[in-house]
Amino acid sequence: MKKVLLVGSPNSGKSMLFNRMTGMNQRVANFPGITVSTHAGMCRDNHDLEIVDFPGVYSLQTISGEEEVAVEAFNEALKAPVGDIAAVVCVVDGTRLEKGLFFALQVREACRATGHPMVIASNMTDILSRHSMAIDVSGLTASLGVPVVPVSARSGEGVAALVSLLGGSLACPASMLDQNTIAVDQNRLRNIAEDLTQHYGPKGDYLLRSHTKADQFFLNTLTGGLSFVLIMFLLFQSIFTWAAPLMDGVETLVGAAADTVLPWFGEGWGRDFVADALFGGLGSFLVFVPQIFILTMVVGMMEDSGYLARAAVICHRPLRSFGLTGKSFVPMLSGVACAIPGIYAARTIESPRRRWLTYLAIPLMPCSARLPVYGLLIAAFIPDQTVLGGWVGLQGLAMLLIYLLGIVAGLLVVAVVSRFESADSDDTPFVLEMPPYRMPGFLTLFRHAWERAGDFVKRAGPVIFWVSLVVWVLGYMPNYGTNLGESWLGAAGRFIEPIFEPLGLDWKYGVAILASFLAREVFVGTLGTLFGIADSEENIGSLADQITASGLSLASGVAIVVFFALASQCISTLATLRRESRSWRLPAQLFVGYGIMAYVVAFAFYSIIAAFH
Amino acid sequence: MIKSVPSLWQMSRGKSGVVTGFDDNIKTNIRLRLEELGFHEGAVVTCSMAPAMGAPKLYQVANSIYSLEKPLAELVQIQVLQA
Repeated sequence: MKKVLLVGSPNSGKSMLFNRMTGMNQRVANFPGITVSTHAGMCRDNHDLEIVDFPGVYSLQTISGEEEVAVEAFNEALKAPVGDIAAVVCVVDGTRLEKGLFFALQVREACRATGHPMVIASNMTDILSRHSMAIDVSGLTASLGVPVVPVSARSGEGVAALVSLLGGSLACPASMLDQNTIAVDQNRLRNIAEDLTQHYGPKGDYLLRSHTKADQFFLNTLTGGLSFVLIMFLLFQSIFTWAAPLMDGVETLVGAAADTVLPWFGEGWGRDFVADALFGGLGSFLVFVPQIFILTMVVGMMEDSGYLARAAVICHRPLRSFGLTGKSFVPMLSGVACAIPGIYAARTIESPRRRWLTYLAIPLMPCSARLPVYGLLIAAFIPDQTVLGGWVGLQGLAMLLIYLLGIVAGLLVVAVVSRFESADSDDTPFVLEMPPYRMPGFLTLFRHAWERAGDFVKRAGPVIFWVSLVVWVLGYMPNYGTNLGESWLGAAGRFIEPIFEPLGLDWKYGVAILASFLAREVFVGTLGTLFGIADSEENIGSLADQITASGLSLASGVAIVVFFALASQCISTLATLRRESRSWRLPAQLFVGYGIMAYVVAFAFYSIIAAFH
Repeated sequence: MIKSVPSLWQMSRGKSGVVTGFDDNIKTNIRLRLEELGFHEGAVVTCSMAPAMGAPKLYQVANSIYSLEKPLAELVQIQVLQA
């Protein structure tokens, strides 16, 4: 099998082309630097080709450690014997040809030096066509001595021709551009790129003029600020309002499945297990999956539309005052869906110090694993009512406030730490390429959100199953579910009860919080199992109703929310931080530090609310 | 007619200028990156947006738009082109 190496500048559409060629679904977004590691997959239409997608770089001469890793990986791949690589495909954004060609010329020289064939894929032809623009493909091919194929990774146009070309016999670029190669003369390459763009590139700057008009709205002090607040507000409202029918649907399905399955079992432990552990534990968790789906869809729409880069510009100044950068906004927003891609996204921050500070903030971003916990407690304590003429839902508003708590806590922690950590004189300043505005690809977004929700279930499901099983066995034995308080779990729960008693929580909540240190969402499943066992004779109503009926006070509910907002319980996040920081020191500090902070702040909230409520 | 101003940051919205050089204190890697993005000597740059309150400004160069914060834009020396 021959390899095809996909390279290009950030946001040139490489990963979308990779997905198109392989049928895979790597994360793509209209924002530079989304691909942070190398991916490989078999070509869908030619099984003799393996496509390798490299992270985007602006140049083969690097300025940051992460770029160096990407370029080294590319150079290492080029050491393959001639014939092992079908071609290096350099993806250039046809709407910004000069920048792409500058990089393509460097790649061309690297291919020429190593004897590998090269093809240039001129992407975004659909956008050019829409504005009656085009690239003179034959002229550019003749001048470069390298085949240029116009493609649209988004629509699929030209991809078949590209694959067909890669399946044939391609030659290494000739030395017609040889002017002592790239390392010694960047200026010459730039001049060649400029000349080629002027001769063969699209004429006119219609695209930039339309972008500027949109920027005048989204980056204006008044309209930009208002639209930012409105978009963020809609994001959090959507989690409840748009997800509500889907959640009801899942709840109905789980209920119908329970009604169908339970009669198959006779009275006894088997029936109790299925009812309490499976439908009580796993079922309670599944109800919240639609919220994760909707959240991923909405964040994806912001990314794909090109708005996210503008939001980074708007946020740069305020984030700077906390010691962060506008580029921290995207990892932090990604952290709202899940901390792990957020931590990876922080690789795009060139400044090591600001990247490290961003790492501190990300675990405090309100990730989707917290969502089921928040959703459960909001449903238990906040009435499902609207205010302001039906435009604002109280539950959505509560969710916004909880999310703000995590975000504000993250910023404050970073602000305090940055005051004590001396600034690095080698700090890299903020420069960000503005991607074009475009309509989001809804099908791609849907697939991404579907996979994200599926991954969430696959990752959390087994953990919740085993925890539910253990919790159920401990709660069921030795008296076969007749008295939860006298079970093994009851004894263990009372042992740890003093830890959670100051927050007004009984041992059942203590057990659920302890179990959530495996994964936050386990909290919901564990409570579902516990309440299932406790109320096995009259196990009716949703988990939220059972929590309300159990007499949990508002102060204790808020204490749980605050604890979950601030504690860093996620093992996967800590492991990812260890990998990125190449040390256990940072994750260990965050686990202990944020754990203590979470407990103390939760106790403070509990005390204040209990005093006035 | 050409009027001299010290840096890119001082160019107001809608104005264009030619890059004439870089501040002596600029680090080599930063200069290289700016040149790769198109901010090289002789390049024509237009300030397309200048948001208020010290937010990074948007500059159009070589059919691309970049956002540069003040400390970076101050390192790029230009001459403003008068319409």
